[in-house]
Formats: sequence, C-alpha cells, structure tokens
Amino acid sequence: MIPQRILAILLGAAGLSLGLALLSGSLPLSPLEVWNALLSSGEDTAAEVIWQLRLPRVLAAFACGGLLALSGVLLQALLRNPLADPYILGISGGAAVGALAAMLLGARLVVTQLASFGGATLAIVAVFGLGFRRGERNIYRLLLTGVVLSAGCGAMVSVLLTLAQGEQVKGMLFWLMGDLSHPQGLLFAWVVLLLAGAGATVFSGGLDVLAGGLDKAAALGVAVVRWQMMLYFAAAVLTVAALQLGGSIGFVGLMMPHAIRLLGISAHRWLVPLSMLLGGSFLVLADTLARTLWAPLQLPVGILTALLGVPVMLWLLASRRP
Amino acid sequence: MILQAQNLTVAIGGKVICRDLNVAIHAGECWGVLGQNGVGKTTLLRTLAGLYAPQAGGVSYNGTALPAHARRELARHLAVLMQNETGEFWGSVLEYVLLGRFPYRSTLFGYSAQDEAAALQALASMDLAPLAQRPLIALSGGERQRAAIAQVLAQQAQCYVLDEPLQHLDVRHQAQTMQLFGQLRQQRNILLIALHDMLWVQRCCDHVLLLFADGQVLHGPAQELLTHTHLEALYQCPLREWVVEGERCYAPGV
Repeated sequence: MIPQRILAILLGAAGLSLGLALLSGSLPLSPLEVWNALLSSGEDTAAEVIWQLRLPRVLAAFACGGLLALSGVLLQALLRNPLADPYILGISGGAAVGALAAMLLGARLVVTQLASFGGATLAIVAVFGLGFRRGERNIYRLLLTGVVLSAGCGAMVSVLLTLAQGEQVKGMLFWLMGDLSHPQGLLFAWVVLLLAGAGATVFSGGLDVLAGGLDKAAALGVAVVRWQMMLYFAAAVLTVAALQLGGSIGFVGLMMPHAIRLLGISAHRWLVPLSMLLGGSFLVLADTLARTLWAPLQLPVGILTALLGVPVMLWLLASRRP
Repeated sequence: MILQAQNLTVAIGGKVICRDLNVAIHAGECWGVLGQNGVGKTTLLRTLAGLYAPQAGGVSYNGTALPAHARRELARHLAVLMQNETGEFWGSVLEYVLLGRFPYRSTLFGYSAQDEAAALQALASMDLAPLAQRPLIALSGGERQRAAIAQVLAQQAQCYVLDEPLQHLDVRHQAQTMQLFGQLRQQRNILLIALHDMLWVQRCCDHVLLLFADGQVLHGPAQELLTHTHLEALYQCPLREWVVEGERCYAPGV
C-alpha cells in the first residue's frame, strides 16, 4: 500500500477513535452535545464531563500510545533488533520498582509518580553507564545490560508485591498492567511527543542508514556515536513520559512499528509518523473499551491492548504473502 | 587525488597488522590487498577508510587527514564496501541502494529525483532492476552482495575501498563486477580491493599490498610482487603455477 493512503486511513481512524472515546462514558451524550460542550467552556454537566474527565483522558491515551510507538521505532533502530520495545532497556523496570516501593510505603499519588520517575532515571543512567561503549561495532552490550537490569527489577517487583497487602496489591497490579486513570504530565508528554516525532521524521534518513549497519552508517557520513546517544536518550525520555501517563502499558511499543512494516513501509520517513498515529489511535480505542466494557468497573488498559492487538497482529502475520 | 598512509601502525586485539606503513595511492590506480584469513585485511581497509583509529600515524585524503574531513563531505568522495553488512535492513532493494545517496540527501526533502536515478542506474548495472521492489532479506546471498555493490556504486565517489567484493558471486557476476571496477579505474578513480582470486588480481590490479602472516608488509607494482615465491610465502602453502595465454594460474600443489 502506498504510504499516503495509509496516512489518510490512519488520520481517519484517529478522528474516529477520538470521537468514539469522547462519546463513551457513564453519562450518555449525543454527538451534538459533545460538540457543543467542546465549543463552550460553560458550567453545565456535559461541558464539565468533557473538559474535566473525558478529554484529558483521551489526550493522555493518544499521547501515551504515540510515545510508546515512537520509542519502539527508535529503539528498534538503535539496537538493530526487531524485538526491542520501550521496556527492553529496563526503564519501566526501574520505574516500577520506584512506584511500587512508594505505594508500599503508602505514599500519595504525586510521590508515587515522582518515585517512578526517579527509578526510571536511575535505570537509564545505570544501563547507559554500564552498557554503552563508544565506537563498539555491535550494541549487544547495551541491549543485554538492559535485559539483565530488567530481570533484576522484575525480582524486586515480586518482592514488593509479596510484601504488599490487600488493596495495595490491586493498585500495584494496575500500575504494572498499565492504567490511564491518573495521567501525570500531560502537557510535557505532548510537547515531547510532537518535538520528538517531528525530529525523528526530519532526520529519518540517518535512522534508515543506521538500520543498514553501523560501519556502513559511519562510511556514509553519519556520526554514529552521537546518533546512538541521541536515540538512547530520546527513547528514554519518551518512555518516561509514557510511564508517567499510564504505567507500563505493554504491546504498543513493540507491535505498532511492526504493524506498519507489515503494510510494506520501512523507510523511517513514513514509519515514524504512521507508527505514532497508529499507536495513539489504538491506545485511545483500547482505553475506551477498558473503561466501558465492564462499567462502572475499569480494567487496566494493558490487558485490552494485548487482547485487541494479539489477534490483529496474528492475522497480519499470517496473511502477509511470503 | 591521492590516498596516503603515513607511518601507519595498525593493531587490533593486541595483534599488530602493520608497522610504520607508508604508501601513496594515486588517481587511476587499482590496488589489490592480499593475505590469509585473519591477517588483518579488513582492519587495514577500515583504517584506510577512516573507520578504525590507527595506533600511530595516519591516513590522509588529498593531503588532509581523514578525521579532519567533514564526515558527509568525505562520504561523497570515499565509498566503502564491507563484508556481511546487510544484516537487519527491512526495506526494499531500491531503498537499500538509495542509502548510498545519503551523503547527498537533503535533510528536509529527502532523496531527489537525481538520487533515485543514480540508485536505479546502479541497480541496473548489477542486473538487479527486476528485483528493485523486493524486500532485501528475500534475496539470495549473491544477490545481496550485488545490492551492496550497487549501493557503493550509487555513492558515485572517487575513491573505493572494497572488502572482498566478489564473495558469493557467480562467475558471470564476478566478471561483470570486475569490469565495472575497471571502468571506474579508467575514469581516474582510486580502487583498493581485498581479493583472494589471483586471476582477478592479475587482470585488474596494477599494484598490490601483501600482508604476510609474520607481520611483514610488501607493497608495490603487481608485476614485481606477484611472484610464485611471494605467493607461496603469503599463503604458507605450496602452489602449482601454469601459464595459459599469458595469464598465470595458481592451484594448491599439495
């Protein structure tokens, strides 16, 4: 399929998913009421529900999906590995240990978010410091350092879950499975998303060249070490912003880039914006289902991303001609 | 145009590949780099292309040290073919060959029509035009090698550093590739090629650089250096030689 057509379809899908998300909720609103509420900043219930509840959540879901997808694209290019996702370098592991430790101590939401931010930052610095070597021709050391640190964080998470009691455990599980009901740093997330998305699209030529090999990239005039450092820290900031919005939501970062690739797109000029659009729309849809399927009970959105995404990905994989 | 190594000492993993090497390669010369597996041909070529930092001395292009050149600018002059480099590329053959145009690419507008034309021409010269839209990973080993060569040709440089360009190629494409390199040489480009096939060395290289297993390095006109004695010492293997219509052929003479 030609990229322009995929772009048109995805823009349509993004609009549809955003509209559907704004329409869905415990208070039934007609499309016209939603539209009027969006235009007014009035005091009535509809405007309050839209502006205070649904719109922030929808924007958070879209940003989170876009951040995860872009982070996935960048890490797959940096690590030259199709299995790379935003969590492979231990960033979410560090964030989880921080968040859960704060929850165990009964900290308030803000403190929990700060703790997760601190944990993620520590993981980013540790993995980079231990795993990155200037001019190394393969980047397995960085990858394995991240995987090892993730495993360690996984064990710590298990310890924290064992120590926790009753209601605490549920909160922890929601964080671990990904949940968009308490998004933090929405404005920061959108700024990061738009800046990084524009930057990655503009400098997409370098990403393509890196995928062709590190030595080759250097021979073609790419400053490889500078690129690697930029990619690593850009992916880290994207992941941290996404974690602050919704905890560790799985599947999106790994699979959105592959879904676009399965449609025949591999040049980063298109892969970057299309993956972001798909990731955003997909997460908005998943989150809408997560909060309406069993309403008033809310499911962690991470469950929905997998339940929705797995069959679609399996179908795409199976139907792709050899 | 001149590619020059001055007092070059290259070592990797504690093994010294060459010591105090001084060699100047001029426009229109084609150099063959010969030696046993693992003797350091690839590392020496990477050093001469500015991809590996030597222990001492340096490499200059047109009188300026390689690290002092602007990277992208240098890439318009110096193209490098590496071994087994196509690894994790997910795109089509054409997209892969287009990477060779990266040094000319404008950041905002991507590849120009001129870049596409250069890539397509390079593809055609390697008989890959019908495969342009196929995914690179779907190609056979030999076809992938031809795509890698096409990428280097698309770069339209003046100095070519080629590490075993003939690996995986069938006889016909070996001949076609070496003929293309011959044209590049006639157009006053510099070529530096790691080769194992003595026949192609004789036919195409006017100079050779021999890397012996004991660390000795000889370089100079192919006519003088490509002797039976040198080759037996180079490969540490007895060789039988015959002459067919003026060309010397070698086979292991166990």
